Amino acid sequence: MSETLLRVKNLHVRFEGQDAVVHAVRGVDFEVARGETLGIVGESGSGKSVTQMAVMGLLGPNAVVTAEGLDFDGHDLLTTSASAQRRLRGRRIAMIFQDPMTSLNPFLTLGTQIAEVLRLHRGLRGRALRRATIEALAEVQIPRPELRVEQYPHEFSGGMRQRAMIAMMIAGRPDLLIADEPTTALDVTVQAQILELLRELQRERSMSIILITHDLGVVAGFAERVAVMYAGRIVEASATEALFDAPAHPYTRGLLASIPRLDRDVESLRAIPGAPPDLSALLRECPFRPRCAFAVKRCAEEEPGLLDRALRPGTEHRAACWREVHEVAALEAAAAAAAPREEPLR
Amino acid sequence: MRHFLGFLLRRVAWLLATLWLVFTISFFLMRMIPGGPLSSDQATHPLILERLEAKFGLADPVATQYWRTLKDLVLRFDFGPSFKLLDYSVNEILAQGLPRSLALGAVALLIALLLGVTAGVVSALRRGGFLDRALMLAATIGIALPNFVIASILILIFVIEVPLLPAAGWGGYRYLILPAVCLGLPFAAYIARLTRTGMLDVLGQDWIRTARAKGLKEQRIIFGHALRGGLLPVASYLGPAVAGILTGSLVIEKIFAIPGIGTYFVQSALNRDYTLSMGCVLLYTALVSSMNLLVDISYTVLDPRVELDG
Amino acid sequence: MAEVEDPGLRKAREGDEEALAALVREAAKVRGNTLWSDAKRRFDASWIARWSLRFLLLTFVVSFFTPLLPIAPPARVRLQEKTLAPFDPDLTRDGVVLRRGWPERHEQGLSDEARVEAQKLAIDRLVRGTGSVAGVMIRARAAIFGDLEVAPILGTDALGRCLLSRILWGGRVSLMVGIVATLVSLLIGVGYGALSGYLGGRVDRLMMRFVDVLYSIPFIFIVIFLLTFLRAQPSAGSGGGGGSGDKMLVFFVIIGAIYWLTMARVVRGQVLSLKHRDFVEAAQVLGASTWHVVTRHLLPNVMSVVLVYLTLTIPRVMLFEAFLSFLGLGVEAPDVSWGMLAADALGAINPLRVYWWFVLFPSLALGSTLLALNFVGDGLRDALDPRLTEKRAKA
Repeated sequence: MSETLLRVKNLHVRFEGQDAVVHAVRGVDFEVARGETLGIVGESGSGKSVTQMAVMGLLGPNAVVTAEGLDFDGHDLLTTSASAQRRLRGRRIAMIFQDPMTSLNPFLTLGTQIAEVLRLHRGLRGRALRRATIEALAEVQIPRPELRVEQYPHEFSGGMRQRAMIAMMIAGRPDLLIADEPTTALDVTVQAQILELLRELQRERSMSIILITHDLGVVAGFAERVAVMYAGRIVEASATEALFDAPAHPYTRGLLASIPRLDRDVESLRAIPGAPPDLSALLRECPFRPRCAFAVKRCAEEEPGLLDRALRPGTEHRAACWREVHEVAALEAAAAAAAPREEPLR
Repeated sequence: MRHFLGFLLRRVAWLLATLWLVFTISFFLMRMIPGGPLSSDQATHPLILERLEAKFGLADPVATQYWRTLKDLVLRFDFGPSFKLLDYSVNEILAQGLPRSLALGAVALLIALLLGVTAGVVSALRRGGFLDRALMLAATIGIALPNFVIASILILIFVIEVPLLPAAGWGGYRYLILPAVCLGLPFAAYIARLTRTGMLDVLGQDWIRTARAKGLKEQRIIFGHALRGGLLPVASYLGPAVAGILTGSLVIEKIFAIPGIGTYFVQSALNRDYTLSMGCVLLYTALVSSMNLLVDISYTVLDPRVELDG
Repeated sequence: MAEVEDPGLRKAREGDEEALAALVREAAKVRGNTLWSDAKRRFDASWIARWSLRFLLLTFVVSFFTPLLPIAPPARVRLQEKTLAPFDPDLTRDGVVLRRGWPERHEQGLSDEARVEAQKLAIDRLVRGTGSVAGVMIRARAAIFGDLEVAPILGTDALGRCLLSRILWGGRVSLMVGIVATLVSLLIGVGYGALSGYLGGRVDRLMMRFVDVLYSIPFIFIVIFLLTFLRAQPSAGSGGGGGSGDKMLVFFVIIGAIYWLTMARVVRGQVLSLKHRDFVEAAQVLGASTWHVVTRHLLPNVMSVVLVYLTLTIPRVMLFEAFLSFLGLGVEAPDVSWGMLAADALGAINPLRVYWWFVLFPSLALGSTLLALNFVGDGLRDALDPRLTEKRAKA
């Protein structure tokens, strides 16, 4: 793709509490090009949200952020002053959050909350401000926006609230929108509508989007590239199609096996056994090893970096696993054949 | 709007019921005393007693007295003559004292709010820091100490050692400063605590993170987004605070010799001036109840999620 | 609160007795042992709470044993010693603070026998003016220390009464009011709240509505109004010393009776939320008796809340007693309380001569005790249930 908008290189984030240090992000690299959509997938605690909060500069004082590079469109986010970083927020980079109920201020009308952004980032005042506020709501397809601007968040339904949230966050015309689990709290039908809305807005404005989710299914039809995170690291990064065709990391394979799909039986759904490692200690082994069915000796001795696992030359597909893709696939197939499975009733 | 009127009517009905209850309890307690309300330590001349009984209608059956007193109260808002200050009616005394007490209470409440909210917000923003700890220690001391102890310390400092302010009495605003501060300080301490808890609670909310993500300046986040929610606990405390300030004014008015209803109330209790005492109790009940009503209404203005009920 | 059913409990309902018993055991362990030992650890972590508790224990012990101490009778007037400053050189010359003349000084010319007789009478008078426990202690004190007493090292008041003695005796009354009245409120509040919460349903709603109604009445004013009548009956008792004690008792009960409302609410809420906890239901499924459920599961949990509220109510009640005594409506002479001492002190403030010790020492005694009680209450609250902090802020 073309011009790179956000470049993150070897990002570390640790939280220093009174008794313990938690290494939440342990060396993350990724890039987002202008107009591109990147999906970041991982379970809670994998560091996916913390990574993006670090990009936004929204982490609290107990978080220590270090990186070799944290560049947004020529701004070095690590060295810019707090106020310069603040000026980027909302205007160049914006973020929408998981739960629109708790993420909107219950004491202010939505009009007020949107107008705040328009005033700050677009310098609008008076009648123009009001017109733009109503337009912002209309743009995210909220019906009767001129009435809705006077209402409070609790008077909106969940889907409408998330629309309003999106309206508020894109009102500053950002180049990059980080969407942190934007559909998790919503009904399935509403989820699809919100994703559709985001896609339309992206097309109109050629905005980059980072979509954070725990749901590979959401990423499938939405993002061009995917990064899978586990225990504070990216364990697999690839173009979306390549990842779904040939998942290279056992964790990704596990995630895919746990998604319900129309063409498979529910019985074939499998959860990944075990739990993620404790990130308060420094790791030497592969963090997924205790849960991994394909572990070899080397996995316990050395944590793998991102290795090239592209099936076709010239494509980008990397995974942090010592095993080759075909080895894992073959082992998995053998295991499935050996295990006597009950034939589901039809 | 209709909803609001219904709410108001229900609440006013409650207020009247409460007043009636307090009146009835007080009335019958008064009549339960052996020997009647006029009995006293000193032997009064029988003739004078007779005349007094006639004046207060004490010879009539209790039921008759009850209805007569209630009727006077409801129809003419008349508490009758004072038992001890024979030349005055209770209404006259209360009318004289009320403005002074209200001025004192209002200034004290204002001081409590200004001081308390400021300290609470500062404390929350400097959480864990030296200023936070110092302010919260001061608040704990303020809550623990009775206002007369605070008053004696402040009098020693500002009246005796550095004579800036008058010791007692009623006159210009200078006479109001010290009593109002003494009355307001304990409540400022409590409000500071409430504000701090409320602000910390709000500052941890998701929508504060949203406000930061929007690129808002810190002042705008605190005053535009956090303060309103952070002050909700304070708003719900205002009812008890008003009751507390009225209670405290009994002591403060006595210390600073302010001729307000607090002073009259204590005097009436000490002198066994029943009519005046009852008038004061009813007045206090009405004040506290109507303040509670106001607070509930203001709460719905502060928090759009709350609907009027009850 | 979300009604999320624990899978362990669901399994248990389906008949797996063993899992159920294990759950109950676990619950007992978690709530029983860890709750209190955790709480103790958290409480001890706060030095201010720890030292406040020690200070309070000391205050309680000293107050209780005050009659045993060799100090002057608190009500003894000696005009020739009025307004002596603390450590007055005339009285404490050469560092000697003990002197003779307790409880009263007698004429020089009296024979030894007559002096012993006079002293006996004086002690009898003193004992009559106090409760029976204090009376026994006064006699014991007479046996131990004879007529020795500590000179008024904290100064004397306008009537020459020893301030040290008045503060110690005043502490007895103030603390007693605080504790007895709080216990009264505890009895009413816990009983009412637990009943309301346990019965639930319409009875509960009705009972809580009644509490709401009482909340809207400004009781402090009614109490003052009531005291008007109590004071109006000087001859109601048989006269003499016994009357004062009776009146004090009524006074305690009245104060206690107006502080039960919040306690009832708190306890009710606690009982209501506990009733549906897994371990309580599990115990019921197992067939535990109501008595067992109440004593082993409900009470220990309610107790933590009650304890916190108790320590926070005592200072409030003491404040109220001080407030009433200050107004002259509370404890009556010859009894002393800290509120009364503070009132005396304020009355004596004048620009001509500052008797700072009148103000300082009683204020210090009252203030430090109340402060320590508040610190202990806060410490207990944080130790037992950090979430309570929020609840209280919202109440």
